[in-house]
Amino acid sequence: MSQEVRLRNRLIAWWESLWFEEVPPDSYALLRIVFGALGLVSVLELTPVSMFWPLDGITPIPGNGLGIRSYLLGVGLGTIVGWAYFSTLLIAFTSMTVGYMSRPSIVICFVGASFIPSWNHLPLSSANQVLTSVLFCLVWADCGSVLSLDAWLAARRRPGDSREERPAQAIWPLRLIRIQVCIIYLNSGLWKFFNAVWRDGAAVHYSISLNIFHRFPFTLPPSLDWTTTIATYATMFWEISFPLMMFHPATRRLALILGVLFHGGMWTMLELGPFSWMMIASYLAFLDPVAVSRMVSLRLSSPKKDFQSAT
Amino acid sequence: MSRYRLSLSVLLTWHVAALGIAAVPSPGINPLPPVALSRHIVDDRIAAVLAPALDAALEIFAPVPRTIARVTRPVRTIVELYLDAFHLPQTWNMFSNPPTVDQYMRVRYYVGSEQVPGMPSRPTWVATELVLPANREDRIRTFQSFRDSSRDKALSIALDDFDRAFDRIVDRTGKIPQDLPDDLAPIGRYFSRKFEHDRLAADEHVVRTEVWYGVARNPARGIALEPSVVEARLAVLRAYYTGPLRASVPPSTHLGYGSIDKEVDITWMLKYFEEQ
Repeated sequence: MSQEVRLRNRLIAWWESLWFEEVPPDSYALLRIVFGALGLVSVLELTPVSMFWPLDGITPIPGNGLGIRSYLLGVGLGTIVGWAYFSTLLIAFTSMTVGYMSRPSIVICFVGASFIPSWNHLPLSSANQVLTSVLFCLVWADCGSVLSLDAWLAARRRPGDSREERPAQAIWPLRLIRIQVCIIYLNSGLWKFFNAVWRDGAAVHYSISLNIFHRFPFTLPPSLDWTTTIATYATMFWEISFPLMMFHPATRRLALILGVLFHGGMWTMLELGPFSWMMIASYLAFLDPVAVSRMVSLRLSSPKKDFQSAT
Repeated sequence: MSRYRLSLSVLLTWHVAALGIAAVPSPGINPLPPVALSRHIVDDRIAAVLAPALDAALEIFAPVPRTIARVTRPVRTIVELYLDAFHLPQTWNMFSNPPTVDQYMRVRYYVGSEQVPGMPSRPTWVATELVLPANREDRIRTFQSFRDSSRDKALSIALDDFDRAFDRIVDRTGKIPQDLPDDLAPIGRYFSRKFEHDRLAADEHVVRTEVWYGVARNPARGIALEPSVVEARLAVLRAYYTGPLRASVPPSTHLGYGSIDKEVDITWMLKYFEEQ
């Protein structure tokens, strides 16, 4: 075999293992549960319903786009459709969380969440963007084969057979989530780098002072402003280096621990809705699926098909 | 590699490339701010060392996104179309340029009583309601503020949309428009309707609604606000926290866009008004 062919075969093998390696389904199931619950919280956050969902609430005046909102308002359906949209999302996210009709639920959640900006973009934060991005990846995976009502119902249909069906999953939807999260941090870090207020170390000082966001009714005394300077630089460096830190298990672990600390700190100091929780939840995709599966099996002690570590 | 995997590989490569391309800020779509030197702080030892170094690094790095944007320009449209189709925008610039001011919004209702049918009512009293922030800022914010954060977001984004639309008109025509952009109309209408429903008698109704935007500068790093200023502002806000503040009709009931009002260190500007 020539060296060229060997190299090509090795490349193909690497590519196949990168995208198509089979992993246990538990990571997908956990992502389904966590993002289903966070989606539910995000929808409930957009209440009172009369404020954000009917077209006569705090929603942009219809007139742009395809004219669907104008039409609905014109025929007097702006309120009914708004309520129906809200209710559908509530049901879909509940269904996704418990894993009932998991696949169609996730598709409905993705379509529903991704059209909220067209219905009413005003109350949306980046959390909706994160949610849509993760749901897009989960749509392609079978997230309901374990830890779901679907799995429980399927087991009940096979009386006497105690073995749980655990079909292996390709790793690529998980990889897509990882890449998406890396892009979020890199992009966010570069935007910060380009703004002078981050380079001069004052951004966190101003951010935690903002009356719309701050959680505590006081500002730090000037003698402690050095802590906000450190937080400013640390956040920017961590965000920019996040994708690079994913390449080695040790730095990956550090990046994720720092991420939990940063988002936890942000949540403590600022009211940002579900954004911090979404980002921390997305870290599930970075955990070794085999380790996740072992952890789940320790909890549920069910027999497992053997998988090799896939990170 | 099977045909299925090969096809999927092409799609995955395309998807990842599209995410990467869309994440590069591009002039005309999501331009980066112009490269400006940061303030070189001397009284903060960490910033004094890092800020000049980062400025120098940015000078070197700044052309990179522009170059990538230029190289990827031919596929940019198709990338945008693809990501728009799946609602996957890739601009993540939250808090990249945090405001240096505290922000407020209030809605003023001019209330009139029913007189001769068909004739316009004259306002007999006014009420002013603080609507942003939704949660009072003199207490620790917990569960309720989580829910209220979406209202604050909605009001802030509506204001940004209004300012952008307003600037576009001014850039185009060179003058302040007679018909203001309608981005703040939903806010005025929603709160006005709610006020009418909750607070007015059957023969009363809102005849004019005004949306005011207020700002109060936050102190720079290393400087503390005078306690007297903080207390005075809180006194004003606490009055608002009790609910819409009733007052007699001011001498001028037809204020226009840009009218200014001051309350302690909060400067209010009339952004939008509507006669009913």
